[in-house]
Amino acid sequence: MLGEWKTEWMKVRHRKIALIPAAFLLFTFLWLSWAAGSVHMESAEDGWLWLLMCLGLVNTILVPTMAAMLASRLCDVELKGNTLKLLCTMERKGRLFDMKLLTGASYLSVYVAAELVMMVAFGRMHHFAGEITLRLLVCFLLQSGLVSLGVLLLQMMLSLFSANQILPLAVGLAGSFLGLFSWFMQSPFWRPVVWAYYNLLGYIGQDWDVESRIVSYYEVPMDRQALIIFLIALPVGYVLGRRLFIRRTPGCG
Amino acid sequence: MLTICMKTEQKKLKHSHLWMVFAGIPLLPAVLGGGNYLNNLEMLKSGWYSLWTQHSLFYAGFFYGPLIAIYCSYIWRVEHLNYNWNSLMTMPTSEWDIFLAKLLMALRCTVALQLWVGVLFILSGKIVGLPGLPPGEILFWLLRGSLGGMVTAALQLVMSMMVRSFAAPVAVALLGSVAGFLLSGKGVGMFWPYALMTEGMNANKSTDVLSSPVGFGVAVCGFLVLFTVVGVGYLKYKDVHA
Repeated sequence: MLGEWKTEWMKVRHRKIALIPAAFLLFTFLWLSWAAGSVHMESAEDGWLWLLMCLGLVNTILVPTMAAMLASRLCDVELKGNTLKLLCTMERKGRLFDMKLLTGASYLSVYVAAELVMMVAFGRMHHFAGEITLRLLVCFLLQSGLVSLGVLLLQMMLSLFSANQILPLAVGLAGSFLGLFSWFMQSPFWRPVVWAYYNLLGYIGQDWDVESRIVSYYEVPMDRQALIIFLIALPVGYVLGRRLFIRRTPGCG
Repeated sequence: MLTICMKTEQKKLKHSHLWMVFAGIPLLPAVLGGGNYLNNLEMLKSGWYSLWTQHSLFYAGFFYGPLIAIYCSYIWRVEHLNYNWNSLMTMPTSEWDIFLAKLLMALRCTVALQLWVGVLFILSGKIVGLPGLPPGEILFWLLRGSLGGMVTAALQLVMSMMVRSFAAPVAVALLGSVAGFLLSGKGVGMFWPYALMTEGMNANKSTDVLSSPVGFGVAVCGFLVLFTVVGVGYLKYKDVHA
């Protein structure tokens, strides 16, 4: 297993894949900095809540496309060279799927961790009052980490099955769109849509005063039903995707 | 020769299923924009103009650019595969024809996409119960947006030509479009190529924000010429890495 893990990392050498999450992270930072200058909050304590809410929304827009890119870059080594068939004579198909997913998940974990560091640094720079509570941190990891992993799994499957990477990218783009709209249109119909879970697993509410144009933020309980659905759907999706890949690996007959 | 090059490009796009992406993704802002309009009827009182704000809000700012980028990446994808760069550069065709053929194909795509968005806008307006047809001004904004789209297409073509990755230029287009959306809000959209789509389409606005059509025209022409010259120059002077 260690050998296959090392092989995956050798495949991505010199491909500058880390630049993708780095560029998205930098852009997120710039976006938040721009937004911080134009927001009117009720109190300084609202700063962290505002930041977490903004980050959730920004991730809804950016992460699906980033995950699509990441998956596409990780999978196109075999697809471009048409080497899946050859590879599957030496490596177990299921293991190949696992290693690809694990490599993508590693990039994603570093991205979410970097977002956390950036968030704390951002809060300190803008002198937000108080500290982020453990509950908020756990909620952030569930919302950004877990949902992004689900999105990555979907994109990985699409990328592995598409010789032409238009479809995975278009799905990623459509996912960003759907996820974004789920923030503005509350409906139970969003439950089957993986990208909408950035909103469904939201844990911060807001009140906007039309007269004063001041927004106040407050903590709300996370939708447990949505969380349970997602926690069940994620391993089920993984098992189904893996099985599908083993049975119908592209180029392997 | 340019016509022949365009016909060749058309052949390369056969069986690409690109049309499905371009037909499918604009359905989302049409459906969701219409739904959002119905949900906020008490605030949105200006009929077709209000529907336009909902329809164009995210489409122009976030997704029009990446859609064009997918098209441009696909146009160059063929050349990046199987040593096709060597074949392309040894053809008895000038670099201008090669680049312009691809550019004209991309321009056709930006206009076709806007026309499809226009059809969907009218359909969604009818479905949500708006009377008559949309004002001509909105249709003008729609086509003006495609001028901004042309600039994005030229820039994306240059990027997709230089970068072998299919996905990377699409991500750049998404980030550029979001930045354009924010810069438009600050009133400096004319200086950022990705913001010209938002400016041209008058996205999320019910009154025309373009006080200076001349400025918009100069920005469009300037960027278009700049990116075309850079693209052709790159083809002429850079060695091929097949």
